[in-house]
Amino acid sequence: MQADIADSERLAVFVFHSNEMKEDAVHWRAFLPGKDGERSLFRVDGLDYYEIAAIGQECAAARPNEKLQGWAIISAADVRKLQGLQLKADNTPPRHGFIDTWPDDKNDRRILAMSLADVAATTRFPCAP
Amino acid sequence: MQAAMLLTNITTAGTSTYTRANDPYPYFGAPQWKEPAADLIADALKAAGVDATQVSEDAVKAARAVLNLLAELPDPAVAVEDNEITLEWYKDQHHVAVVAVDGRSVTWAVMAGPGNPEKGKAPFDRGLPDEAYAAINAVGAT
Repeated sequence: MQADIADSERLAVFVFHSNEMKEDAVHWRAFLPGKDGERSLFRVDGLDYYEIAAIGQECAAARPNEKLQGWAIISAADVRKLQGLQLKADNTPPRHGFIDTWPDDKNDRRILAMSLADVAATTRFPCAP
Repeated sequence: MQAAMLLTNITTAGTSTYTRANDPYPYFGAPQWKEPAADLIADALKAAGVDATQVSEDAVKAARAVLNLLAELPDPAVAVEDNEITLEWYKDQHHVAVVAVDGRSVTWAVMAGPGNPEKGKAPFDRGLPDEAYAAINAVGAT
């Protein structure tokens, strides 16, 4: 896997809180950075539903009292076109990366998270038959 | 057939007055007391627990004022974030509005349709700026 994330790559943001999974889509708050100032994601190009779900469930296993609710898929280009945001890949765990350089202003972070949610494609887990 | 003729006779016979009998149902089927109006802000402060201590009294007053200004919209989701109270109207991923007050200023972040983000900040003295009101109202009222 390339060290740099290509613009065309699909990125998955996992959702572990039921209140971040709305009826229609992943809620914009799922894209906000955590206390570490980063929004964690996984590079999922070439992976199918089951392979992506397996990564998500592995993440969920490390979170007590939380379970995988689904994920949002965005492209790296979607992130980079938003002013100031950068993508970094640390591959720890494998395929892991994050969005960083979020602005200090809370309202600026909100509008960026809303902009990511606006273009995201949502998959629920487990998927409805 | 006879019934239909009878009906015709009645309707062609002229004006008649119908007085509806008192409907006893409300007295049996519905509660005779009013639920107290939900206090969304008090509930959010309570849910925030110790985090609510960062919220100033001015922020609470401002949040109540915003709620009153946008009273025609459906109830928003109210939350406490650090020193701010946020009010959110969510329709779908493309239509969402968030107003945040901290007692000194009001900020708004609105996704007013696909690819149409709007944001702003203003001192909260008398209310919401027109541009904020229009953007929030457009999302909240849909």
